Amino acid sequence: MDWDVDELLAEPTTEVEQDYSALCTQWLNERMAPELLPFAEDVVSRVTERLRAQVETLQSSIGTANATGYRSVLIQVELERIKFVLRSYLRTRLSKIDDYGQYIQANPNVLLNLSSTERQYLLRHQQLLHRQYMASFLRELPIKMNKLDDTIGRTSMVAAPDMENSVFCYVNETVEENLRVAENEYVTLDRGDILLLKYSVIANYVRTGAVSLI
Amino acid sequence: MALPRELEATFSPEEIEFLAGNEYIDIVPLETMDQLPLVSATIPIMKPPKKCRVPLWLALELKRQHRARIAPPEWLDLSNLESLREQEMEMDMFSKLPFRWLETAHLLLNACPDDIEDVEEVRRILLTIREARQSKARAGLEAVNEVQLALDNLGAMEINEIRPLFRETMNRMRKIVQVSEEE
Repeated sequence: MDWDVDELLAEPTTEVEQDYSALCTQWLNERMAPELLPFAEDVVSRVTERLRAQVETLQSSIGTANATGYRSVLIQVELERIKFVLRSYLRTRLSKIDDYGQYIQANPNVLLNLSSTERQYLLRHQQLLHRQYMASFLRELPIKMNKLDDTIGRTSMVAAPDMENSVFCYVNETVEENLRVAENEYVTLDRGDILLLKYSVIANYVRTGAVSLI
Repeated sequence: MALPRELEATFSPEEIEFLAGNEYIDIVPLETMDQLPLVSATIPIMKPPKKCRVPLWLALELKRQHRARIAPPEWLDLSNLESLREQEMEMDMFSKLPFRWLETAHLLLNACPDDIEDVEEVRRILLTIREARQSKARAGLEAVNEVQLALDNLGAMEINEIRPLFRETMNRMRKIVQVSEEE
């Protein structure tokens, strides 16, 4: 009864396996994190490249004996799986860009986390929105009140992601120092722990990969 | 919008099952199959009766096509599950099951009951274990405070089940504490 947790998680060994595993991890992290994480440029581009190559191989085999064989079916099943992960990953990011568009534009270091395509999308989306708001009702308001990023009063109009939101996380590597979670409360992160914490406490560790969100 | 509202806060069970499909499992091929280059791995040549290690989704597909039999993972064995059940009943904490035990067991029991020994008994024991853990998880709600909660050995699907409730509870407690600190 002494199986190894690592063996069960079957650490990927080859580069292709690692890329797919990394893509899935990024997808999970992005789904559960309240903020927009850095775009996984390398992993996504390598996987997309291999996807393309696989689709070409499939297409060139149409008409040969292999076309409807079980191997084609398996290859197609896998293609659909990977496309699903990619799509969901990109959609999650788009959803966050939609929700926090103004906030991202106002914070250049968050803007860095977007890919260039996403930046273009953000710009265009915000322009369209602004134009629509202006045309519908903002023009009717007095000039002093028609700004969309008002900070008068206690709350800002700009929606920012809630970094204090709680997330479930799994610890991949033991973290040396204890983390401060409240006035006098600390928590230790040992490998294999599963914890429910405020996102802000472990935000940095998610980026380094020491902790992943589940 | 880009992401359906019900997926914003948590995963769907199908997505958790999808993730379980990525885990590796042993199969026994029933016929010789050439190397299969996939995007996420390269499946080596499979020759009966040598066991081969493939992703679960592939194993299920091959089983469906009657080209392979699945070798159940070590933990899904009767004696092991019986001792786990004992542990589960005695301890307050969760016994050590693989992270994706629920969804993997579910997929295997549906796809290849003929490859599992004493499958009916296994089913019964898994059900008992699941119920015991569920009631422990529910009891754990009392332990939620506004800063942290440790849930070692909880399974992926189990976490997904309790996620909306536990998250919302923790968020609200946090807000209450925040307001009380400001005063």
